Amino acid sequence: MDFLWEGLLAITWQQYIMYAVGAVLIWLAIEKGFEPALLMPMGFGAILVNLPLSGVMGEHGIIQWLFDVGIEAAEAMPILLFIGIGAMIDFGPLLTNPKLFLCGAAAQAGIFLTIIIASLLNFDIKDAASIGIIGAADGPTSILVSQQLQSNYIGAIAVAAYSYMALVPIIQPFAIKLVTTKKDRAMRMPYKGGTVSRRTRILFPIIVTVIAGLVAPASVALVGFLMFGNLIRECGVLETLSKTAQNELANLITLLLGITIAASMKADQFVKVETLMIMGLGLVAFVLDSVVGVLFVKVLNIFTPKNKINPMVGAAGISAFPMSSRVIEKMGQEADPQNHLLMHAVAANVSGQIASVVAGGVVLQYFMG
Amino acid sequence: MDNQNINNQFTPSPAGDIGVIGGADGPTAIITSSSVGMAENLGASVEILGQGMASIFVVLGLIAVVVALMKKLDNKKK
Repeated sequence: MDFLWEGLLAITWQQYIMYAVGAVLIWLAIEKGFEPALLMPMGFGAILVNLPLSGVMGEHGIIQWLFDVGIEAAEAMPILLFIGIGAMIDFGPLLTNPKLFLCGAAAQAGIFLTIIIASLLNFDIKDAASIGIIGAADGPTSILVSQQLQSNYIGAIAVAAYSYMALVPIIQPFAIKLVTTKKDRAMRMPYKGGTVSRRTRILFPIIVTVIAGLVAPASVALVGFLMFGNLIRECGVLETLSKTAQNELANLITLLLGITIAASMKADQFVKVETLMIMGLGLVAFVLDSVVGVLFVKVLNIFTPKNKINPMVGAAGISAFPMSSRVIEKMGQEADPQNHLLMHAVAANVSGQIASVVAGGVVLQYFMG
Repeated sequence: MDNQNINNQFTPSPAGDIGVIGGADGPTAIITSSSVGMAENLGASVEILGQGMASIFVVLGLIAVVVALMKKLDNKKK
């Protein structure tokens, strides 16, 4: 009868902790609605890969195979997911107010400030860079950068990135209130809608790819696939492909991405003090993104007194879409019930989606030379 | 920077090895040698901040300028 007990006795205390981590992730996903499409599979996967002698890992294990082929070999899963994301984004509101591109750029500062903090905490520079990228507020970019830099903490970084994206409605109001007054938040902005020509919409993804590619060649895979998806959306002749990218493609990859990432959640790699530090640093990154975004707009407003931006819109420059836009709209209305900032926040938010992949690219660029 | 390792097996740099956070309660030797690695990492991370934010602003700024020009062209046509 020994064989019945062998499995049970082989479980280490670290593995028990991982079952608890898995259970918490599943609970957060189902009961709290935290990015359920990613965190539920990651939670289940965390249990699956930590069963003693788990058959899904190792040379012929299916999750190991998915990880090797889908993530390790060429980051296929996160990159292909960007085709779907690109097809989902409507850049219209941003194209009518190009000034808001700068909000997306400023709100990436949390990434770099967190890299500095992480290296002060003695993380190796490549790990520090991977941890900072949590501040891109962009799950696939975090996975891709930490994988390419061969960080030891991909699992923790992915958990942090997706958890805090889900927590944006709690983190951002706190961070924004640190650096704004009620009068700041009540500032109104006129919305001059205006139409964007079809030519502009079609040329836009191509121009973005070329500019990003020339300045930061390492960002081409990320930016290129995001913009490829957007071109499919905007060209007007690939309606069915656009729908497939937004739905079937994105869903199929999402379905497998969470459970595949679980390959990096083996107990011996995950149950470490560093994992807790990474969770803390991820939170810091999100707060710093929001704070710098707001402060940047306040400075910008000094130079353009006739065309002021509500400082909160700067915080919408993170990539978490549409959560961040909604937060800004809600906070604007709390300060003044007639204040409508949604379209401006959406513009900054989609600019953040471009800026975050560019940020991933420029961090990789540094290590490529 | 060593760039050969990016797509190969990662061998943690000695600095990273030494800088294990859990080692902070260990002998002084560990702390002393890790602060050398830390200074190096800190220098690199400040460099990443400078290069990174500059590149992001250049990319997004250029895109904004091109989009603004295209908008002007659109308006002229009308």
